Amino acid sequence: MGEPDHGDVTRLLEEWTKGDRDALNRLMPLVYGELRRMSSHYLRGERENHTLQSAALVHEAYLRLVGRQNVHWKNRAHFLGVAAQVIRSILVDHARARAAAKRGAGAVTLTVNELSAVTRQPEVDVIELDTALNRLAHLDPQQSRIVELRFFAGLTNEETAEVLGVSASTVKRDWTHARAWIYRALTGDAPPANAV
Amino acid sequence: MTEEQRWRTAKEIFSGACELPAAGRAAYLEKACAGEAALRAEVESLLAAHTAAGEFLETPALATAAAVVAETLPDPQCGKRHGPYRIVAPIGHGGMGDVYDAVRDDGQYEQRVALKLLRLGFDAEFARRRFRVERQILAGLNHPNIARLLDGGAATDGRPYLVMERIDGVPLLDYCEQRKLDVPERLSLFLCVADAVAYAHQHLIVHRDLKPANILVTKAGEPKLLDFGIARVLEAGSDTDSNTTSLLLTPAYASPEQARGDRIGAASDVYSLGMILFELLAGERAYSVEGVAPAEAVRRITDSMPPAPSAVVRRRGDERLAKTLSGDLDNIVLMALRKEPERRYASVERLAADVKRYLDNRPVSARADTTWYRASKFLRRRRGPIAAAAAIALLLVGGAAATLWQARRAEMERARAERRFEDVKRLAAVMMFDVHDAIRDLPGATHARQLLVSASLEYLNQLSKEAGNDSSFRTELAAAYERVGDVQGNPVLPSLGDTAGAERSYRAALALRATVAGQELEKARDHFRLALCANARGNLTGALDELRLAITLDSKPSGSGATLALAADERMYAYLLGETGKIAEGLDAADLSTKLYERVASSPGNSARVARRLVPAAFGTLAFLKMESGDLAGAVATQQQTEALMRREEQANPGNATIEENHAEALYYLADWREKAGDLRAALGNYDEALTELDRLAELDAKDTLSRRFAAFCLAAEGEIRVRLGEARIGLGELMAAHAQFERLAAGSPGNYYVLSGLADTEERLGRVWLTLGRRGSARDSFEKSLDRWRKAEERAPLARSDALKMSRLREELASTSRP
Repeated sequence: MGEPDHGDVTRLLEEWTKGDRDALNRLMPLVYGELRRMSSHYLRGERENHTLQSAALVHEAYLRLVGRQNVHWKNRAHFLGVAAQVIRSILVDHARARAAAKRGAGAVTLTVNELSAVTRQPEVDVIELDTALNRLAHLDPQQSRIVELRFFAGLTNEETAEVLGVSASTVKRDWTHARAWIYRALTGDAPPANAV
Repeated sequence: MTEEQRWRTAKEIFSGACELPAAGRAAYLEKACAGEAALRAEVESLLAAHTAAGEFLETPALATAAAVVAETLPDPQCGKRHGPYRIVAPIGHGGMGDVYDAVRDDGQYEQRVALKLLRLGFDAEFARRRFRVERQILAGLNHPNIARLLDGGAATDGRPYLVMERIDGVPLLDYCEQRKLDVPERLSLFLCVADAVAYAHQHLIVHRDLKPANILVTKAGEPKLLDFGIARVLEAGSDTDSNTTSLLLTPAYASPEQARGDRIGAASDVYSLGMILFELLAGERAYSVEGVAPAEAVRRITDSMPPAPSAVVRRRGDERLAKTLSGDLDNIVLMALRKEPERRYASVERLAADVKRYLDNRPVSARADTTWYRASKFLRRRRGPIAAAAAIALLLVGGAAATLWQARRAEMERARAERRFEDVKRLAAVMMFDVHDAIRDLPGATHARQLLVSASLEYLNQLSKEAGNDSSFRTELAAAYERVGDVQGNPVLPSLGDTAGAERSYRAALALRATVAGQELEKARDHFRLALCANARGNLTGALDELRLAITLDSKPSGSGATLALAADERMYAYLLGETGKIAEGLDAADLSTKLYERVASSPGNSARVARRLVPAAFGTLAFLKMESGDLAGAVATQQQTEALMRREEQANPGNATIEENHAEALYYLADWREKAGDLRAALGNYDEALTELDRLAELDAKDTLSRRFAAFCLAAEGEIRVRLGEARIGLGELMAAHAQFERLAAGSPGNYYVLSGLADTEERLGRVWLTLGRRGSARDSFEKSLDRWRKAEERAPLARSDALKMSRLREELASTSRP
């Protein structure tokens, strides 16, 4: 995989900002490729420190894609948004593939759950989370995006606030609420019949 | 209420409740929900979820995503061709190489193989040698339970590769778990493995890295041993590799002698097989070294007694299995796992024979360990720590240690054994230093040196407790502490920068020497070292106290050695007196020092050569004191003398780094004082000369912080002079570079007084330069930074006079920035 074309990525980000959905579609594979390149390095332990600092990973991907000279605050925010979506789709696709493999024969060598033991990631059913997030997006689009940015892209409250253009305290409040809401949705405690 | 409104209301009430303590929530909800039962139920359900959620979603999923992505990532090697082999897919990534699934498809015949490709980034030469060895070894092995070597070669990029029989199988432990094998079945598998290892031993090959992951079991139930990567032909004289190799091992299954870096033999494989047998039977390892610090891992391997497999199983509550294991199987495993190689099974065959006897219901040869051996553990412990960290040292000591073991066997020879033990102690102490000096200049040796220091200290502390009144032993130990202290943080030697640690070691040496009569010079040298340390930490009073003790001790004996030592004491004493403002006293001491040195220099004997080298240094101190007394012209004149003497010394001894260093230092002070005298051009010339020397020195030794420190001082001075001479841009650049250099040094040696004063001085210079350039704000910042550093230093210890003067000067300079 060669160096990504910085100008290209910047242009796509700008077009996407202006509302060009197609730009996002062309942007996704680039971001995906970059995350892929980097994560393989991380996992092979070719980094000085073996921890996967997620936010650092995403920021680094951004710098590589966009180039250090073109770092604009706005583009960076958009990029983080795209990255979060890409990561979400990677995980969901993988979980679906795994679920399909389970239904068929054949053992899957490496599962997300096995990895979760390594990365100390509390077990989360990604497919159910995805479904819950889609439901949440209908009720409260901003909360859904906050979860995406915090959980999938590993951003802090402050960074999330920056991307969404809201205050950090709003992010914190919405995050707490969204987390409780999703937790309830995933643990099967149905909301009372006549509420919401 | 619309759905959106309901959502919003519930969210707001929820957020409000979250900020309240649990006790206050009911009342709040009562009020906020105003009797709307559904709303309240919704909020309460969310609050319950919130409490139950714990860390839910708090750890970002990115790490998992990265892993998932990596899983689907095609390896860049895929499709590549090495010789007649084409790589199909990665199998695994090992310590030294990557293993690939590959096919031979050069049209001759198609064959699936495992191709092991050396990873880049290793010491290529070392690795190539290893691969060559591995290839030779494997080619000679032909056993159904050992993966065969088929071919080998070099990839186009120069990386060597090995081609091995491709084994489709499951790692040993997984295989046993998956098939729920019972004890006899497990033992049968183990016997196959042992048979393969025994076969290798017959061919004088020790595996050295036996572990369950290196044993695959095929569908047919046949175990295959992989990766004879570090095996070594016993008889071949390739000892040089083995110690480096052992560091690359997976410690979990390593034998004590291997963990220590000792010479290892077939007994080491017996031990590893014991570890495997333990895990096969008990379902867990005899002990865990996962995630512990290397030193602790080594300690566990060498010192902790493994539990009986049955005890481990019983703890888990499996009484039935515990019953099966207790007795013979416990004894067999523990006999294989004995710490002393000579007390294990004499060979893998013997171990296997015992397992067979157990399977045949015949009495086994293994017996429970006796208390006599447990009691004798102390001997092993003594050897433990130093050997652990300094594999190389132990290689050298190893011969004597082996004799020790043999001697111990015969109790009648106890006296002789003890004498030998003395030998070992002395030998180890000496070796440690030789080894240290040998590795000191190797790139990347710092970590090894630190290990050496901590291991040595642990060892010495242990021995000190048993030193008793044996004066020769105490002396030996004291010398050892002194050397370790020098390595830790002697401020005037290339050291690891741990001044406090060095002081502790010197004090330990003094304590050991205290009860030994005589030894004035040695004791004085300890006090001198402590003075150096105190000075380096900015504790001038402490340094002066130590020096007075040294002077008293050195005044007693006669002879040029004592005179030489006294001269050194006096010179340092003079310097420190100058620093504490006792100029007149200091001038006397400096004068005395030059006279003492000159006296020895003109005397016959070896000391004369040393003294001649130090005469200029004494002149330097004299010059410094003249400088302190305000006699700038006198100081420059004496220093010119110093510099000339040193230049002559340097020419007489080309390539001597210490002399070059001293010359550079002399040049630096000459330049400094010429700068102060306003002779800027001449000063610049001297700084330039000094920098040329220092840069060369620094280039020679990446760890030489002394030269780098002086170079930074010179650079900073040059910078300011150049600005004053109108070369502002270059000058500023030099100052910035100097500051950055000091910061790098400070990071490596926090609390070092010289580095600190370097930072403060450079900041002061920057301040003056900014002022010259009309940048008042920047000037003020720089002055404040500098002043602040001195203030902090002052809080720790009283400042040297010259540094205290700097503080008052800085205050004035700072005040001047606000004047119009």
